[in-house]
Order: sequence, then structure tokens, then C-alpha cells
Amino acid sequence: MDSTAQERRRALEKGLVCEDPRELSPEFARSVEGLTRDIKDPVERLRFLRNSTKTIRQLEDQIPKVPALARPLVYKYLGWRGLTMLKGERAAGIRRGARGKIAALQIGIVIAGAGLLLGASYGTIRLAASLGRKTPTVEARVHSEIPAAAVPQPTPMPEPEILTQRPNSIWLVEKGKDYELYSNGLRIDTTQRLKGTRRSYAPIDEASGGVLPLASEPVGIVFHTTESDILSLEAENNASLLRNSKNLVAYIKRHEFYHYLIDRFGRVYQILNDDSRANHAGFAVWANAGRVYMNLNHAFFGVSFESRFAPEGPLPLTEAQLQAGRLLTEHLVRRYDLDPKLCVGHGIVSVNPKTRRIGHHVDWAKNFPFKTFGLPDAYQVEPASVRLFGFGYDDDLAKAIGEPWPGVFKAEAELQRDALKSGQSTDELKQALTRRYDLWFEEQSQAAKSTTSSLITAPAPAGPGVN
Amino acid sequence: MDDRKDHLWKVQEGSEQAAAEDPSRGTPLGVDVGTSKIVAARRRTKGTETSMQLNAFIPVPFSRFTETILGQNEIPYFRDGDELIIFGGATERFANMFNVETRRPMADGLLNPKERMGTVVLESIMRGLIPKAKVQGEVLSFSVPAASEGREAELVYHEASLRRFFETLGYRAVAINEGLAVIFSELEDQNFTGIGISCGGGMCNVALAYLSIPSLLFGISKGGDYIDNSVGSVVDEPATRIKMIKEEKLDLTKAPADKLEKALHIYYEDLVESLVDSIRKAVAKADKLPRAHRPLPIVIAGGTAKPKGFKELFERSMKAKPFPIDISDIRVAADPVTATARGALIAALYEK
Repeated sequence: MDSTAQERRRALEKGLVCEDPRELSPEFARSVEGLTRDIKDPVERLRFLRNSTKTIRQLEDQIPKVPALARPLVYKYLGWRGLTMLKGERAAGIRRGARGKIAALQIGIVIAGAGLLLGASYGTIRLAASLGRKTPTVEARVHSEIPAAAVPQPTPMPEPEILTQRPNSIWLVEKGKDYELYSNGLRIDTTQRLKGTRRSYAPIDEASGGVLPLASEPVGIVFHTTESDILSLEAENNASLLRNSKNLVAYIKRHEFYHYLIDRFGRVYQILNDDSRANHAGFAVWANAGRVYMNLNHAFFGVSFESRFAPEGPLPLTEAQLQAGRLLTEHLVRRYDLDPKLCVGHGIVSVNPKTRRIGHHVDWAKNFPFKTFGLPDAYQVEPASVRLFGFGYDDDLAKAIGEPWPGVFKAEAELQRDALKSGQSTDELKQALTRRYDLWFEEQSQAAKSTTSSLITAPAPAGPGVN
Repeated sequence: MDDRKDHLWKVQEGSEQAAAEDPSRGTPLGVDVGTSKIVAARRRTKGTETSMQLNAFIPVPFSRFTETILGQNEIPYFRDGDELIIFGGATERFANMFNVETRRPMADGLLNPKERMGTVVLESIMRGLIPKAKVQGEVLSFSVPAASEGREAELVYHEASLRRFFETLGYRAVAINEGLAVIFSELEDQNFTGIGISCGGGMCNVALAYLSIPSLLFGISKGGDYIDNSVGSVVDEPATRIKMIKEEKLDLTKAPADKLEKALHIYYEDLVESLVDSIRKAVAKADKLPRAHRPLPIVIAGGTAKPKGFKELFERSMKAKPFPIDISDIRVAADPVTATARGALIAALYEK
């Protein structure tokens, strides 16, 4: 675009020059206006309308080729896409709703499948192609979000598998003043790195219930989402995206929440030294190989993605975050010989000791891409919180994530069998097990406290961490 | 399950609320640079806050005594050779005291080319209203009139001068048409669809927008000043005094009580007729009007629309002849004086 055209474009956008709105059909206006009811903020309403009309303008050559009957659906779809781009906390519900509708549309279209494809005209195909090309996606996703119906894809040409070279080991390639580069491509920003409180924890032996010797080596990873304000990935949001990441890093650093943060652009920030604890999963339980870990702040790395957990729809990660998360996981697992079975999502380890419920926090209680990260599926594992301590769940968890993950059902079935064997009711058994939680938690806390006071490091915070 | 919220979410929400008043984060500003008044709007936690200043000045001969009096009364002024330039809110008081006319840095919506001190005074007034940007590059949206025929070059100069001034304060300045700003502030419930009119001191600006997109922008060089000057010449009173009477007492629903009020009624009717006639012609002539799926509302803002009965006068004028498009309703902004600035603020927040 030359400078005159750019100037005109800018003037048009500021409303200093008239535009020609004739191509904005009343049908489109009705569709779009019907979607603005819940947008309370005038700025967001304006953003939505401008984005929607801009998209329509970009497609003005294609729209007339879409069969008249299909046009309302296209308008609706574009409107929902516009809603997913709204910013701010107040619009979170609208964004979710729109994503849900897009997902429902996708499902509906898949079901309608062949019939709809047959009915789709050449114009629709062209439009779909344009949608893919011209409009930015809201978030990078593992799977494309363009609805199947709007994109009747030609039969894909088989592509030969691409084999790439991967280093057998991961080593530090280069260390700069403010970064570290590893041989798998992982680049860690170390400008914010803090020396925190040294790790020190006492696992519990599952068989005996006794406290095992104190340890200070990390054993696993808990993956989190920051649940912070998330903007759509668009060039016009660049300044806000950068500012959000910067503020988030400062906030996490101030509270020593995680060891690593991966921002929307896939930048990996190290917040705490690897040998320090972080306040990321205080009330949390996980177990493997006969060892039970309660309070995972010391024994586990906290790795958080700048994102908001979404139980439905596409993965709430950008492509860059996914890639960076994989590289970081690979690096940590290899460097510290972490047990992959101890690499889990926050939502499946988090507990509320007061209510004896699991899923106190729900980030990654569903949908964590374990396979993509080269990790075993932790959702299939019976959580120690249920199996060993009889913790339950209520309707709130179902409301937040739908059904609990499969491991919970397995653990509950196991508990029922144990109850039958011991001649107790399941509730009686659960009550006994929750007392075990209190006892074991106290034991490991005392063991950790006794060493903390003897360590020549900064004192550990009094509480069990933020959870 | 209130406590199931994740920790950062809560903090972020809190900090979002606090951000509006956090001096380190800066605040986008909307500024209505009007011929008669300059109004600034910014968003606070509890809503939009506006402040305004009269866009006028009066020179008085320099003397140590006068300067001391001005200083003691905290009246804004600066010295220019053997004159003291009093500007802003106190100007009208001094003008009445000395029975002279106030002077304006702007005329007909643009920088006044006949006023040597125009730019300096305008910038001094704006400095008193608009703080330096807390964050370099913070967005400020300022209003500009529509280009009227033959005055396009003046508008370019006006807009560029203002933009440069705001940039010296550290802002990223974005211009917005006055009429569109009125639509942004008053027609949110109509999805920014309708006709917005800003009746200011120097001119009346009109915008017709469809889903926030302007498809018709124009202005007429008649506004509050036209009424003040015309009435002033008929009743032989300074326009500044007419303006004060007009703003404080005028009720267009009541029959005029004296010659001055009668003249005010006559020139108001003339202004409104000219305005409605211009809109009628512009709409009839426009070749880019949207295919609206419903009748459009009209919203009127600006200090000239403030007197009681203005809406009724406008409605009468609209009904006098057929209008080329369907109109759903006619309304006057809840706060006509600040509407343009509030709309500019929405534009600034959108640009942020």
C-alpha cells in the first residue's frame, strides 16, 4: 500500500473521511447488531463493529458469490469471530459464548457434512479461502478454527513425512548476559531471574506413611495458566500484549509464583533459580512410585503459560507457547532427570483441604497436551488426593470443567472396591482417609520446617503458598 | 465456589480497576477543541470526568498593579510586550468589566488566521487543561470540524498544528470529526448508527454514520457566535454579553419578553433552519448513504444546543418539509457541552 493509500486508510479509520457503507447490507447489519446486546463497554462495542465491518469490506468481492441462503450463516460466523476479539475481563463471558457458538457451528457443519458441501457453491469456497487468508486468527491454535463448512477443502496432497535432526542431548549452547540458549532451540530470558528460597521437602512413603529423607532436587513439573488478561493476537494489540507480559513478569516475580513463565509470543522467562521453591502449588497432592508429595512448591517446577484455561474449544495456547513449552519441558526433564509421570497440570493436583475437594484450581484440569509434550497422560492416573485421601468433588467442578478427568473415576471405583472389602461404606472409608491427609500433611510440614530453619538461605514464607 | 478463582485473575482484575487512576499508567484523553470552549474528558474508575475552559482571551495594558491583581486572584495570563493577555474562564468577566469583546484564538471551528496571538493563547489554555502524558505515546483524541468547501487547506493546518502541540506533551494524537464524536458518545445504544450534530460556537458539524462508519460529513459556518454577533448588532450590545445572557437565561419554549430575547429567538430559528436545510440537501445529494434497515436517530450536542426548547425548535424545522430518510427520534445529548469530548475519549480508548 503506498503512502497516499495508507493516509487515506488512516483517515477513514479515524472518521475524517467518508466511507461508502452501501455494501454493508441490511442483513449484515441486523446480524451484527443482534450480537451487540451484551457488550456493555462502548469502546468494545465500537471495536466489535469496526472489526466486523472491516472483515466484510475485505470480503466484499466474495460475499456476492455466496448463495443468498448461506449468507446469514456467514454473517453470524463473522460476528462471532468479532466477539472473540473483544478485550477486557468484562467481555470474557461474551468471548467464551462466541467460541462455544463457533465450536457448535463446526460440529453442526461436520454432522451436516456432505450435504452441505454439495450445496456449497464455488463462491462459498472462494470466501472460505479468503477468510483463511485475510483475517487474523484470534489465537494460534493446534487445530485450525475455521469452520469445516465454510472451508470445503480440496483433497489434500499426501505430504512426505518431514524428518528433522534432533540433538541426542541438550546442552547450553551460549550464555549471554540476559539469556541462555540450549541446543534444542530453547532460549531462556534470564533478566528477571531471582535467587529464592532453597528447595527442601520431605516426601511420604506411601506404604508406611513415614516421612522419607529430606530432598532438595526437583522431581517434576506442574503446568499452570496465569489466568491473566488475554488479548487477541493482532498487530494492533502489540503494545498492550507487550505491556501485559511485562506487568505479568513483574507481578510473578514479586510474588515468586512460578519458576518459568511462557508469554504469548513464546518467550520463556526464568523467574526463580532452578534450586529455589516457588509459590505455585501449595495445597496440592501427587504421587508416583510409592512416594507421595504434598505441597508441591518445593519438589516441582512451576511452569506457567500466559493464558486463561478453557475447558472447551481450542487449546488456549499460541503456537509459539506450545513450541516453547515443549522445549522447556524437554530441557527440564533431561537436565534434572525428572520423572515424566510427575509432570502434571495444576488442576489435577490442586486440592482444598478445608472442603476436602479436588480441583480447587482448575487450570489444566482438562486438555493439557501431554502427548505433544512427550509426557504420559496424567489424566488417566488415579489422583492420590482421591485414592489415598478420599477427597471428593462437587457440582462446582463439573460446572467449571464438565466431567472430572478419567483418573478420578478410576480412583473412586478403587475406593468402592476397598470399602466393600473392608466392610465399610465408601463414605466411612473416605472419612478415615481424609484424616490420613491431615496427619501426613502435618508430618511432612514439620519435617520441612525443621530443615528450613537450619538452612543458610532466606526463610521460607509462613504459608503454604498461593493456591 | 467463589474461592475457585485463580490467583492472578483476581489481582489483574483489581489492577485493571486501579489502572484508571494509576499515575504511572497514564490515561487516554478526549479533547474537544471548540471555537468557544475546550473540553477534556478522561475515564476514571467511577466514570468519565470532564473539565473545560473558555477558549477566549482579552489583552489589557500592562501595569505592575494589574499583574499583581491577576496573580493574587490566580487568573491565568501571560505578558506580551506592553500587554497582559488574560485567557480562559476569567476573560468574559474582564470583557464585561471593560465593556469590550473577548477575542478568540479560533474562528469558524479553525485556528483564527486573523489573530496574531491565536496559537500561543490556544496552547496556553490547553496546557492548563491537559497534563503532560504520564506515559510517552499515550493516546489523545481531539476533535476537528469537517472540511468545508474552500477551507480544506486551513483544516490541514489546524489539524497539524494541534497534533504537533499534543505531541510536545508526549501524546500520540489522533483527530476525530466532531459530528462523529457526538455519535460515539450519544448513540452507543444505536450501535453508533444515526446522525450526530455538534452545534458549537463557530460552526455546526454534522455526521451520518452507519455502524460507526461515517458516510456523510459536513459543516456549516454558523454557530453560537453567529447568533451572538447578529443579536449584538441588532440590540447594540457586545456579543460577549449576549452570549452570557443566551447561556444563562434563554428559554426558546417561552415567548420572548424583550427585544433582546426576540432577536435571540429569531437568530436561533435562522440557525436551526439553515442547519436542517443543509442536512436535508446533503442527505438528498449524498450518493454513499447506507441501505439502513431501520429509521435513523438524530442527536444534537454542543453549547448552542443547550437552551431549553432547542430540540422542539429543531423538530419543528424538520417537520416543515419532507426529509429524504426516515428519522426515528431527535434527542439532545444529556450533557451537550461535554458530548464531543466524551466521544473523542471513546475514540482514544479505541485507539489505545
